[in-house]
Amino acid sequence: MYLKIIKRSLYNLRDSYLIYILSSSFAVAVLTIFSTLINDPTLRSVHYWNQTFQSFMYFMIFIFGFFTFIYMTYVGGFFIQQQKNEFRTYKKLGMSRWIIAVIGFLKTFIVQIIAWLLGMLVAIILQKFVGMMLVYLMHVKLNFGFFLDPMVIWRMLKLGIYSTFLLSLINGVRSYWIVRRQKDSHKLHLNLFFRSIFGIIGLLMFIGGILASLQVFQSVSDTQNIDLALWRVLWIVPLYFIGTYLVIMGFVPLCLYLFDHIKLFSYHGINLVSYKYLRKRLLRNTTIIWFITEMSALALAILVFCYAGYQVVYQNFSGAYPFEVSAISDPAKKIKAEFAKEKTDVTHEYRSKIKRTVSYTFDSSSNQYEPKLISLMSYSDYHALPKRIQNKNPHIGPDDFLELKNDYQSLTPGYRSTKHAVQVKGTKSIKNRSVGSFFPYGYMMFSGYLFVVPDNYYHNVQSESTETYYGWDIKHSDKLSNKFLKKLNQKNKNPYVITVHIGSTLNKSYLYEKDDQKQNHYRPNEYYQNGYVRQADAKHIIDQTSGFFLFLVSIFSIALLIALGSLLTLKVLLRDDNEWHQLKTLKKIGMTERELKQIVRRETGLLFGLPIVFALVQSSLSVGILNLSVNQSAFKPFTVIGSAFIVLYGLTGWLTYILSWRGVKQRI
Amino acid sequence: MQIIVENIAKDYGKKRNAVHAIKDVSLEVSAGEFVGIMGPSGAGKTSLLDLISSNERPDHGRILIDGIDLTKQHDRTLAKYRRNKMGFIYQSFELLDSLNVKENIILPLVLNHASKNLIEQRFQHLNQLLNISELADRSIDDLSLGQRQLIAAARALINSPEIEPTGSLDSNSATILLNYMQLINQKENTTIMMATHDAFTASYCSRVVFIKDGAIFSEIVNSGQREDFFEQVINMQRTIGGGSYFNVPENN
Ligand SMILES: Nc1ncnc2c1ncn2[C@@H]1O[C@H](COP(=O)(O)OP(=O)(O)O)[C@@H](O)[C@H]1O
Ligand SMILES: [Mg+2]
Repeated sequence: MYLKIIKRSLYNLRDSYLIYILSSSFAVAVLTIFSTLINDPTLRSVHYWNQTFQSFMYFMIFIFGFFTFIYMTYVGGFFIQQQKNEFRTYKKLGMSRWIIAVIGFLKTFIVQIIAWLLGMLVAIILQKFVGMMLVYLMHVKLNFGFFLDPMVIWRMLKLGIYSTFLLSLINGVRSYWIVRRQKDSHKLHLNLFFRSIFGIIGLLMFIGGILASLQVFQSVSDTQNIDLALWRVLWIVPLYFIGTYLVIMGFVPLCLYLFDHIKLFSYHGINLVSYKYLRKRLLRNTTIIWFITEMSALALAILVFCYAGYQVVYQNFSGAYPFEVSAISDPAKKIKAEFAKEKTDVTHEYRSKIKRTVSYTFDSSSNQYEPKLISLMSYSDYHALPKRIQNKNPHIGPDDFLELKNDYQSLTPGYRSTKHAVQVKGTKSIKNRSVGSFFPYGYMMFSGYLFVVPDNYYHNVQSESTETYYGWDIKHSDKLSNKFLKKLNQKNKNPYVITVHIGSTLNKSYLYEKDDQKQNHYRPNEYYQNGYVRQADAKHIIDQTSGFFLFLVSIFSIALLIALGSLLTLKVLLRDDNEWHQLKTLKKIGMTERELKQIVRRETGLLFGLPIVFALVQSSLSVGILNLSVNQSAFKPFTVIGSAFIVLYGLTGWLTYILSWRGVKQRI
Repeated sequence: MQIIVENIAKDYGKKRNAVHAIKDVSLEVSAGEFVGIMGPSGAGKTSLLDLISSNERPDHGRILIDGIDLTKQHDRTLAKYRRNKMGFIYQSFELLDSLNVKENIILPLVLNHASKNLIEQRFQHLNQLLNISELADRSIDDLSLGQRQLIAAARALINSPEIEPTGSLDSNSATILLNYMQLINQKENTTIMMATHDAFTASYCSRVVFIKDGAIFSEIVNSGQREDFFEQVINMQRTIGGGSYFNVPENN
């Protein structure tokens, strides 16, 4: 008989269970696939897999598994809640609480095992496909073979059984607890007055959070004091978290209450019913709305962080390799000869001269002027370079100075400060200048600072060492063979070292060059010159990294949307008896379908609208922090990612609304 | 308003274990009649009223109200129809517990976007007849069964409906209401249909139709004397048998 009871109630809630099983098995499938990918022989032959991606993958599996478990626990609670009345009836009929707990346990067990096995089955079917996608995204030219490690399958199976057992146990306990009272008190747990007080406090906290974060941005751009900012953020985050919860718990219901009591609004069509109905639904669903808010905020932040992380890698790459091949004059001749020999399709050749000398530059770590190597390029030479290079630095005119220094220093305080003049040996010191970080032939081709200076200034400088840089844009690949490169490397990889001889004054300091002795450490006043750099050496890293990021981001976004969508859909579908009764009554006394639809629409709108609004505000805070630490504006990607998220989220909401309305229509 | 029911039938449930709730019922109610519907539990009283009030659609047959075939109307038209032309008192009252008493009563008017003046005016009018103003701000949860019935009736009447299909009125405290219904039935020519188990309640009607197993069993007409009619109803109940006629509230 118990089996019959279980079968019946599973059947009664089949729509909701179906949604749950599908979303859970998706999560299980992703987990299984990730676990098999980690030790996949194909991927292990990819250089970077073993080094970095693998540990990243472990981390992702952990995060994913953790959230999956939270999700399952959470949703399990809905189902038990939904069957409350049924369980109470059993108890009235004389069933013991233990038996009810066993029923709750078995039901969860059945659903959970189905979801898990289904997920693993999907994983086995899709493993090759997902692997192929990953390999494709990473631009790795490998055939992805079908590979399933029996150990992994066994481990996933064990994990499935453990987690099923645990979740069933949790739900068994829940069932046991839920029948202890015969009726829920209809009174709300907290009266409106206290709720409103909390709600207003929450609103103040939330607004306070916004103001505080705006102030942080302000103060950081003034003083560039990151430590202090991060410290303050620790104070701001709880303001948002708690504030949001209190607003949803108290302030929004207060607004609905006020609307409801202003007859101008409430005595108007369905408002009379819907404000009250919405308020009830809201009070019941406070936690879930909050949960979804914070999850969405987190998701948006993670997406933007991934994007920005990728941007950093990419910028680093283009900062190192603005040309397909760059070189200094000595290897340049050999490379050009090789291009001609191999019939390489060179689309452009660029060339710039530089002068090198000694300068007194202010060092903010030692807080004093120190003699350093300085390289100078004339405005005309700089101006002749492709726009894509100039655009990455601040714009300058023919009479302006531009200081280029390495991007990794951008986190040090005073990176952009031009308070201290630069004294160049034998000529005027440079006071006003813009600061950029994009070196024309790639930062790996330069040591120390590079200054772009007006032409007449350039001519006045006495060079102690000159060099000509070459850069080639090439269609397709540079066709440089391994044999040729090997020969080139023997002599020209690091052709020479420039040493600054430190004299008692600037004028007594000077440069001298010597051939690279292949020594292992350089002293601080020694600078070495690279012979050449090729994009081809690093391109696959970028391809692999971006492919890998893209893969993770897309899987995560899909998973997140499925989680959010199914959570809300379930929450909307699973109305309790009282709520069904109200809708039925409304229909009976002559509410049209359109009006009922409007109520469902408002409800879905509120359930979906609230989280996204709060999530957006919160995630823009994290994007703000990102701006500070990456030193580049993440607001554009944020807008793009944010609006993509809103669109997808909106689609989920719309789907929920359709499903919800269908559910309502069927039942009333 | 005149109601003509022609050979209607209604099944509930899927083919194999379908319940034939109404099997071939025909009935004519002329404008201004006050018709009681009686029969044992499960006979099909509620189903019949649900069909006439267009909450359900019949599987066969037609229902004409003032010559308009309800079975051919769009759902939206029917909803407006229910809201404006009919008033209902359901067995389980169907009051919304999230609204207070007054809001429950005026709900049909508010849904119609009636002006605030009209709403107040109608409410005061009902108040004079049913004396409900001191309940106005109470919550539905705090009312007794008799009070709930009164409120359900007030909601049914607020739109001054032309027909009034009524679920069973089983409470003795409903005498005011019954008197009032008789009054509007006579003064305003409202057609009333009412399902009940209670012979005393039924004795207010001008005609009582008895249903058994989803079909009309017989009917008796009130010739004018309420006591005589009451006796007749009791006798007919005995004849039908097969069910409880005690004053038990039904679960709908
Ligand atoms: N929505 C429904 N689904 C299935 N069966 C129903 C439904 N409504 C009524 N019935 C069945 O139809 C028959 C008549 O019910 P009802 O009209 O409620 O009787 P009464 O009101 O006279 O007690 C009963 O057997 C009942 O079980
Ligand atoms: Mg009934």
